[in-house]
Amino acid sequence: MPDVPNPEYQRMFQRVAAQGEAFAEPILVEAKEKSRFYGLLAKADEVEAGVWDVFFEVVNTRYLENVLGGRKVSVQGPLPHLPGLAYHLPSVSETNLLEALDLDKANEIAEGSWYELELTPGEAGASGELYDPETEET
Amino acid sequence: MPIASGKYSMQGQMLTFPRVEADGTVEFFGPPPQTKRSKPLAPLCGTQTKRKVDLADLTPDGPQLPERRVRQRLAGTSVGVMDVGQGNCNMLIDGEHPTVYFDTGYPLRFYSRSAPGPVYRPVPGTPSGPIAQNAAGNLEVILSHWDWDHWRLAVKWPELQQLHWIVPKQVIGASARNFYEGLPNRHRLPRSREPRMLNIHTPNYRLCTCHPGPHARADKIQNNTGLGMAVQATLPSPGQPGQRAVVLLTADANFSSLPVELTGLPNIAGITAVHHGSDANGAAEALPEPQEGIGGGRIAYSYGCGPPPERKHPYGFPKETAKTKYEEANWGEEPGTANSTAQGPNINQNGIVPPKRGNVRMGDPTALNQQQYGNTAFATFPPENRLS
Repeated sequence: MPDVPNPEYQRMFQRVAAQGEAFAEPILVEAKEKSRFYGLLAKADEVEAGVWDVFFEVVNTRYLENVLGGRKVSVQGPLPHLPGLAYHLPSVSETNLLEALDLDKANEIAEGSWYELELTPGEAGASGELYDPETEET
Repeated sequence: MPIASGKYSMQGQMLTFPRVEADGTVEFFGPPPQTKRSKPLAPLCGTQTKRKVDLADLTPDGPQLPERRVRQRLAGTSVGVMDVGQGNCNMLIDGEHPTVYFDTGYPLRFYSRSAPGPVYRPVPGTPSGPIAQNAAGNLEVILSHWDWDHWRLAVKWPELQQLHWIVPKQVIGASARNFYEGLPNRHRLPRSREPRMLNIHTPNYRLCTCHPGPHARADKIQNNTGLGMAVQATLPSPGQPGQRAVVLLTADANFSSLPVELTGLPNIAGITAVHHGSDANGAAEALPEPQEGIGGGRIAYSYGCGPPPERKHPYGFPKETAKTKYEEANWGEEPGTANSTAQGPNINQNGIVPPKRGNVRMGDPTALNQQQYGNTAFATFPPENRLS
């Protein structure tokens, strides 16, 4: 029979957990600042010759580095809810895309690749829509 | 906390790049290729103290579905290629009851208006949404691969998350990982070094792992390392006595990525168009041969069209070049043997014939049990969208 948790410990753990609640939601993107993300290239299709539709699943670098990189010991258990965002470029020229991702040729545009992305407000070069997929249009 | 969404420009540096080794091992987190610059992004203010992150930690873990040899006769009678807009959702049906979903897809937000009204924005009191459970209480989901347009219907309609899910082990991102963690009843399947039949025959399907072959190009890997499926449907099959017609479902995987035990079957009568009718990376090549004497192989295309008047096809799917290749291989060449979710039999006939969108039924046309499923959008199959 498992031990009944000590109420004092329970309260302490609850207080510690409460400190992290502020980070449980996607980190606010400051609209006037650059932001850095880890991005998985989740979809990439050439819509027509030289024009691509690409879609990244992104997560704030600082958050992920603290959740995954900050672990000093291996912890067996589920990951916390990650503040994932979607970044979709529905129509981007191949030239702009290769330049933005520092690639040489189109067959390096591969779904399943991870990137470090720096996103800047605006529509210059390779640009797309950043949004919270949890609030997708219904 | 609100999110400031909007337009953003990007600069990026590749961190990992998928590759397939000579022995077939799929390395999803390989090093980036040599590029012309290969210098890291300049550190942003406050991010100089960077810690190492192992992105493989996001990969689906947890219980693996055990394999065991079970010999059972396939019992399905038809396949529903469900109209979800630009996405993929196939529903195996036995008589008047669904048994298995192969993918539960939904369009990305930018293309969400390609979804049909009863799925995109249902009106209360009208049939809407997918079938959330069957009468036997054993409806399950097989996920072909982790592309968003193959699983997001279960975010839009969360009751689907309560079903038993079987998923491949692939690279996934943060949102997909959140979704996976939220599935209460899930199993993953192992990776393989070659196309391989899995010993988990059920009465309803035969499952395989897909593999693009040694040294496959990186841009082929994600779509071709998932799961494929063979099912049975009541279609013409004049072969050996008792032989039943087979339908192959590959989602976005090429037929060349399936084991020959499936693509070499002599009684294949139906297929779904690879990757919504894409013609990239050999998607419409190495096609299986339809069984002779059945009046041509049946093919169903799953894609979406945007709202009128443009009715734009997301990604330009299906590509006309791919459609021609299927027809040249006798898939959809004969009258009445090709159909689609977005335009019915009028595939790519934009602006000429009014679209006849709807769920496509391949095989036995028996109506689904209306008492059980009549309140959903998945219980109706327009007669003109039938492949029999």
